[in-house]
Amino acid sequence: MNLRLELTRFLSLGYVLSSSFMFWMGLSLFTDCHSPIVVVLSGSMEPAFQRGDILFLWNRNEKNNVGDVVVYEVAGKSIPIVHRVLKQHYDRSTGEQLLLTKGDNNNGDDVPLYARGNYYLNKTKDVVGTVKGYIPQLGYVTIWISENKYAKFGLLGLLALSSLISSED
Amino acid sequence: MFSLNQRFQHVSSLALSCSFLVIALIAATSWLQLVKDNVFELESQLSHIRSATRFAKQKRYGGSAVNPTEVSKIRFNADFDFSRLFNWNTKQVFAYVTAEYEGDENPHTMNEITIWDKIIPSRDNATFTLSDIDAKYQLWDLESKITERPLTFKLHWNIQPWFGFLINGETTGSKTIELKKPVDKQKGK
Amino acid sequence: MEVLQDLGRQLVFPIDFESQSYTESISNKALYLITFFSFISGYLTESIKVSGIVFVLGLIVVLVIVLPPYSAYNKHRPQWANSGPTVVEPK
Repeated sequence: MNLRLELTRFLSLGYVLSSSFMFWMGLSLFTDCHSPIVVVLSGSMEPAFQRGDILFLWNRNEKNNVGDVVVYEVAGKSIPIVHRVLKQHYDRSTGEQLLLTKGDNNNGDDVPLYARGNYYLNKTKDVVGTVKGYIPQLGYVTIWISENKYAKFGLLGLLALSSLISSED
Repeated sequence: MFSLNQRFQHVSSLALSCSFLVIALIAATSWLQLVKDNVFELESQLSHIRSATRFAKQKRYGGSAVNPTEVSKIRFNADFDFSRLFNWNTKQVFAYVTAEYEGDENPHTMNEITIWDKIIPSRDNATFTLSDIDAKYQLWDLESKITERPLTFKLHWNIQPWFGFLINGETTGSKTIELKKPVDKQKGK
Repeated sequence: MEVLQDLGRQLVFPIDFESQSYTESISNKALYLITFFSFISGYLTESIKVSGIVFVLGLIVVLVIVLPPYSAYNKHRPQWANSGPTVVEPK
């Protein structure tokens, strides 16, 4: 047990954590979006997006066009939804925009998913970001870790074991 | 590079950077291919657009018993060839027809509504000659009237890539018409 | 703890200095070549799948060449000078 060595290790761990946090927050500021990279969880946009695909979002646009794929969050529901804009009504004087969305793979539009009594989304209030970039399947790891309890413990155990085994190199 | 661990980390981190380089090259060349193929000025034909309009009292359409909303069903002909949108980085093309119009009571609004869409999964099925087809979605506005003002119908496309950026574009053939007043005199009652 | 430390020491699989610089340069060059060929092969066949297969196969080959501590990688172990007093023979 070498205290200096342990502290150095702790410092490098802190370095890794803080630099990834800085990267995430920097990306967040750059895109004006609280979660600029998301993983698709459901099949409602198939075949465009499958479960596990990674989407890159951008939220500095003032308005959305019809045909854009947006991620939105409904007040009171914690899970963000990624669907395509079907209708848009933009008011040039106030800058307000109302959107109606629909999943490519769904039969009907999203009105049943919206907050009770709402028939449209508000671009500034509800939309988290517009999908600009795409990488397939890479996010499946996070789905696997969050949904399989053995995977979570296995991964933690592996990390702990490797940190114990890694000798002073 | 002294230990197995160091060698593995060196190779895997460089391989990760290299794979992102390959992805960037794929995205860039496929985009250049689209520019070279001049897809941003694809032609399309929309014709024979006609409508049947009714009054709806449901809240979903923004209507009420006192002030029902006009809801229009559209039929149209379309003729287009999207095979040039397919290259090695195209996963699917989403084709959609929209109606664009300015507000009437509130002239500051710009509105755009999808009336028909289609997922095109491959180059072999990218040529369409549609005649007298029903629009998938009905047309209604925030205001109670949708008829008797110029609506511009246009065919757009959206490329969903395997890697990289989603690309949007519109075709050159657009058609501006006014929908006919509903024959149903329900509103007057 | 001691067992784990011992295990850790056995899992180091060291190689000598010359081989360290050799494996580093060969893995860098090979990965750049793989990047190039994976892109070109995919572009010519118009298939992202081909690109992916070329890349993964190339990566596996690099790992097989670079990772294991082959005996050839340990031929040039440095001969450390003995510590301790230098003994001279009286005449």
